[in-house]
Parts: sequence; C-alpha cells; structure tokens
Amino acid sequence: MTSPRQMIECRRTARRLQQFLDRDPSAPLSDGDRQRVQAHLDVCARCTGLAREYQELHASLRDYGQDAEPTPEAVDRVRQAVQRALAQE
Amino acid sequence: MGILAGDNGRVTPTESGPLSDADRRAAFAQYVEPELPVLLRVARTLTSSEADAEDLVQETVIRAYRALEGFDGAHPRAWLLTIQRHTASNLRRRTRPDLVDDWAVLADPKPAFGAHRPETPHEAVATHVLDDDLEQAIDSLGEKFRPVLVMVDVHGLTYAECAQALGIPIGTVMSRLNRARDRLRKHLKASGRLT
Ligand SMILES: [Zn+2]
Repeated sequence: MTSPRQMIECRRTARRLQQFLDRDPSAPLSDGDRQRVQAHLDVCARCTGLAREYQELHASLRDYGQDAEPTPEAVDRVRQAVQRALAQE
Repeated sequence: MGILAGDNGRVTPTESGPLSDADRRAAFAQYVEPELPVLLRVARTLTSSEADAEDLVQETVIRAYRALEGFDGAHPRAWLLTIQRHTASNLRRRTRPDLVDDWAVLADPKPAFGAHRPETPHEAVATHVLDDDLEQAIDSLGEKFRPVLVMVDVHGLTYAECAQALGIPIGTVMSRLNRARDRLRKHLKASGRLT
C-alpha cells in the first residue's frame, strides 16, 4: 500500500531523477537533494525501477554514439583542409 | 568579431595583442585540434549530410583560428560550439534552408568515405542494435526534442555544451531532455524493450 507521504516523495524524486543520474557538471544537485533522492531510491521499488529504465535507455543510446564517432580519416580531412586554407592567407 | 559576442562563451581579449604564428599554431593544437571529433559529431546534427558537416567544421575551425587571440583558454569546447552554431546559421542563410536532420547521424553511423554507401539510410540501419521501432520513436520526437537527446545521450555532450551548441538556456536543455527521455522510455516499455 502506497502512503500519501510516499507518493509525495515519489513525485519529488521523479522531478530530480535525471539530474541525479546524469551528474552533469553544469547542473549538479545539492548534497541535500542527492541524499534525499538516494534515500528514497533505497526504499522505493517503483522509483528504483524507473531509474533503471532511464539507465538502460541512456546506455543503449550511448552505445550507439560510440558507433557514430567520426572516422580518423574525416578528422584528418578537416585538419588538412583547414591547413590548406590558412596557408593561403 | 560578432561571432564571438554573447552567450557564456564570451571571450575577453588579451592585452598582449596579435599572436605570433608559432603561438597561434600552439594554441590551435592545444585548444582546437582535440575538439575536432566532437565538432564533427555535433555538426552532423546541424547539417543534412556528412559532406556538409565537414564543410561546417572546416569553416568553424578557420574562424576559430582567426579568433584565437580573443579566446581566454577557459572552455575551448563551449567556445568552439558557439562559433560552430553561428557558422551553421550563416551557412544556412547563404545556401539552401535545408532541414536539420540530426537523426541522419544515427541512420548512417559509420560513413565510409570513398567506400560503398548504402542506397538508403534504412539499409545501414538494418544491421544495427537500434531497431526500427526505437528509431521511429526518436524520429517522432521532432525538431524541438530530438537534437537535445541526440547531443546529450548519443554524443555525450554536457547540458552546458548542448546549450552552447543550440543557443538555448541550460534549463531548456534539461526540460526538453527530460521530456524526450520520458517519451522514449514509455515507448520502449510499451514495446517490451525495457524490462
Ligand atoms: Zn518512489
């Protein structure tokens, strides 16, 4: 049985979950917020499941990004084109 | 140089005046060259073909080279992404207003230059882990949400770098990212791909 108090905490966690998972340097959670999210995840199976889904999604998109890495040839082509252009100045 | 004005990437001119050629080359090697791969990735989300992406990065990097003495060395990636965004909008105005097709970078993840190119993007996709279903879901995110998801989740940019690359506030990046991920998550869950 989900208590109203827990539902409030679930909603609060949902609002901060992506920031919590991303740990992005440009938008860090406060220590207090981090601890509160973590404490809730420790006791709430539903939010833990949600977090795992986001992690899975992120991982599969990131895997795909590894494949989208530009080839060394492409990087070289750009470098050489730039050097040619600058040599003419 | 108007291209460097504004945003967080704003630079402060140094007092030492013009750089020597040697200093300029050293600064270029230190700040610009390491960022070429990420510039190419992002360029691919801002242009509609691999060739256009390379053109964009070339133009961006040439502008960066000329603007080096105005750069304070603090956040090279953000600085370059800002230049690239301005360059992209200049190039778009100059040529045709192509649709921005960031999804193409996923549809054709390993462009082999000089090698055989698949007839259609779908052929390239067929062998990949991302199935058609997920692709369509990302596609259906639309122009507002898709670029943010592709830049952050696929290309690994930080919120701030994505904000620089698109010229939008960090808060907007975050809210769009959250919406995009939530939609994808629900989609994958509905199709049984998330356990
Ligand atoms: Zn919960």
